[in-house]
Amino acid sequence: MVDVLQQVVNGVAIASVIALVAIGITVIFGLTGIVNFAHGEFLVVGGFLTWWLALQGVPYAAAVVVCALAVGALGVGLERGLWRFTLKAPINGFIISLGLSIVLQHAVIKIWNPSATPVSIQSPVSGEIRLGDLVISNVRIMVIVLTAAVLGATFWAVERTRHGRALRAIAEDRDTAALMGIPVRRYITAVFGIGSLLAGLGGALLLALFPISPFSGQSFVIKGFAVALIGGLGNITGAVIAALMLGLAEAFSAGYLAPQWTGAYAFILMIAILLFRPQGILRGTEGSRVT
Amino acid sequence: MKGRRAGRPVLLMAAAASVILTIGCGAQDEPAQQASSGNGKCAPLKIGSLWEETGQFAVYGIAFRNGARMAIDKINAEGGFDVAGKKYCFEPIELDTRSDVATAVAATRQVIRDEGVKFVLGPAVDTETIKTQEITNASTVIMFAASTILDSALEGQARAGGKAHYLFKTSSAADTREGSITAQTKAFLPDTDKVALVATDDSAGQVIGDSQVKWFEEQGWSLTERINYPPGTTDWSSYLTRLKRGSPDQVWVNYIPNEQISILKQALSLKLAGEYSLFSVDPASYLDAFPEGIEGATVVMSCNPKCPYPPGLDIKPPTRQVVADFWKEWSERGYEFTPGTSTATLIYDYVFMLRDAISAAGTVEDTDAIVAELEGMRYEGVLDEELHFDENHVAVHGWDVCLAKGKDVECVPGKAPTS
Repeated sequence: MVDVLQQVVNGVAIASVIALVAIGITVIFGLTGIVNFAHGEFLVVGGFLTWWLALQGVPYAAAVVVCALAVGALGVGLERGLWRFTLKAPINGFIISLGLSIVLQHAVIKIWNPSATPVSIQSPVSGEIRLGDLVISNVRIMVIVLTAAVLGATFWAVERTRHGRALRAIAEDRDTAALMGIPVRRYITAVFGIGSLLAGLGGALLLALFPISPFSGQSFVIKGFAVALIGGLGNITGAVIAALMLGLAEAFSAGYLAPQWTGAYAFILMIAILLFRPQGILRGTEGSRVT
Repeated sequence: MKGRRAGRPVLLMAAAASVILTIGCGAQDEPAQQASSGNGKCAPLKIGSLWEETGQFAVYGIAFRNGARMAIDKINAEGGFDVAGKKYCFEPIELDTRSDVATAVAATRQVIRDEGVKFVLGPAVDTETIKTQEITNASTVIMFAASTILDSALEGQARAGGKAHYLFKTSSAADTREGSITAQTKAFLPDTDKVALVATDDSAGQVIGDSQVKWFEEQGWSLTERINYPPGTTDWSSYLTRLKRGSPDQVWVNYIPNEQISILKQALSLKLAGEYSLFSVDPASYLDAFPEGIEGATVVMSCNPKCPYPPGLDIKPPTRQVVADFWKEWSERGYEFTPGTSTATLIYDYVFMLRDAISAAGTVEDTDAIVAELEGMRYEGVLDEELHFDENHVAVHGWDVCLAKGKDVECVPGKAPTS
C-alpha cells in the first residue's frame, strides 16, 4: 500500500508540470485554433532562466516569479510579432510554431548552454515528510501545492470572472463576441501571455525537481498535447484530469510494468481514449474561426 | 493602411530569419581547430578528432576532445616527431558529432574523403562509434575509440584481414573492468548481500549491466531487481520506488555521469538504500554535487578510468607523478572538471602511442605497418605503467575505485590485470 501511495505522489508531481504546459496549449488552441508546438520551449526558457538566476545568487522564489513574468512577456511579444498575423489561417501559426521551437531551442543553447547538457540546481526546499515508510520530499509537495494553487486561480478566473466569461464567449464564437464589444485581439494577446507564463512557471518548478536540458521541451510539449487532446482541446478541467491520468500512468507503469516501455504506455492510453471518445474526456472546443 | 499591414509580417519574417542566421552562424564561430598544428618547422599530418561537443553525450565528448588536444599540443610543442628522417606535427581536424549518429558518420566521411586523414580519434559513445568504425576500417584508417560495445565488434576481427583490423579500443574490456570494480567494491563494503541495478536502456547500459550482473553472482550478491530506464528520462523516482520493494543493501547505477548524480539525489530522498555504486563518477564530481558529503549512505565510485584530481581536492593523491601532472595541466588550461572529465585519459596516451608507432613504422601512409607497431607496443602513460592492447586490439589498463563516507574519500588506484 505504501508503495502504491509513493507512486501516486511521484505521478502527481510530474502531472503538475505537465498540466501547466497543457493548459497553455489548450487555452491558446481554444481561442485561436493555433497548435503551438513552441510551447515546450517556453518551459525550457523558464527553466534555464531560473537556473541562470540561481547561479547569480537570486533566491529561488524570486527567480520563479521573474522567470514566469519574463516568459509571459516573451509569449506576448511573440503573439504580437508573429502569431497575430496568422489568426485567419491557424495552420500558418502551427508552421511558425515549429520553426520557432527550433529557434528558441538554439537560442537557449547559444545563450546559456553551449554544450547542450542538462542543468540542475540544489533543491530549493530540503527535507521530507515521512509517514511510516512513505517518504514525500518537501520539494515535491511545494511543486504540487504551487501548481494546485495556480490551476485553481486559473480555473476560478475562467469560470467566475467577467474576463473568463469573455474568454469563453470568444472561444464559442469569436465574431459574435467581437460584435458584443469584447476586445478579441487583446484577449488573445493576454491568453498567449498567461499560457506562456504558466509554461515558464512549469520550467522553474521542473528545475526544482529534475535536471533540464535544451531539448526537454520536446518531450513535454508532446505530453502537453496528449493531455490537451485527452482532456478535450480547449477544456481546462479536462487538461488537469488528463495530466493526472498521464502522470499516474507513467508512475504506475514504471513501478509495475516493463520499465523500458514507460514512455509508450501513456500514449497507448491516449490512443485508446481518443478511439472511444474522439472529443476527449470532456468536450473541447474546435478552435475559434476568424472570418 | 493595407500596404502597411502586408509589410509588417514580411519585416517580422526578415527579422526572424536574421535571428536564425545569427544563431546558425554563431554555432560556427568557434574555430574547428583549436589545438596547435605545428610550428612551421614540421610537416602537418592531419588527424581527425571527432567528438560529441554538443548534445546528450557532450559531457564525455568535450572531455575526450580536450584530452586529445593536450596530447597533440604537447607533441607539437616538443617539435613534432621523426618519420623516416622527416619531422611531422599533428594537425587536428576537429568536428562536432552533436551526439548524433548521422552527423558522426558524415564527419567521418568528411575527414577521410575531403581531408585525407589516415588516423581518427573518436567518437566517444556507442551508437556513433559502431557505425563510424565501419567507414574507417573500410578505408584502412586507424581509429581509436573507447566505446563499451566495441568488445563484440573486435572479438576475432582485429587480425590482419579482419573487419576491425584498424580499430583500437582505448578502454579495457567491459568484462575485465566490471570484474575488477565489483571486486574492489566488495573489498570496500564486505557486508553487502542484496544489490539492485538501474541503468539506461541502450546498448552500453545493456552491455555494462549484463557484465555487472555476472560479477554480482561471482561476489555472492543476490540481485533484487534490474531496471533499464528509457534514454532521456529525468524523473527516476517511480523506478527507484519500485527498487525499494526488494530492500537492497546496495544500488548500482549506470552509466551517464550527470544522470547518475541526479538518480543518486532522488534515491537518497526516497531512502532507497545505504550503499550506492556509481559507474564513471569521480570524487571531484561527487563532492561538487554533495559538498558536505552524504549522511547515512556510503558511495563507491569507479572513475572512468583514472580519477581527476582538481587542485585543492582533499583526497588521497594518485600514486604516480604522471597522473598528477596530467590533472595539473588540465586545470592550468582552464578545462572544466565535470562528471565526465576522467574519460579524457582514455584518449591522451594513445596519441603518444600513435606518434611512436608512426615513427617506428617509418611511414605516415602505410597504416598496416603502423597497426603492427601498435600491436606490439607497451607504453608508460597516465592510464597505466604498461599500457598495451590485447590480441583483439582492446586496451589493457586498470581502473581507480573510490569510497566516499561523508566528506572522506579514499581511492585505490587501478592497475592492469597481470594475466
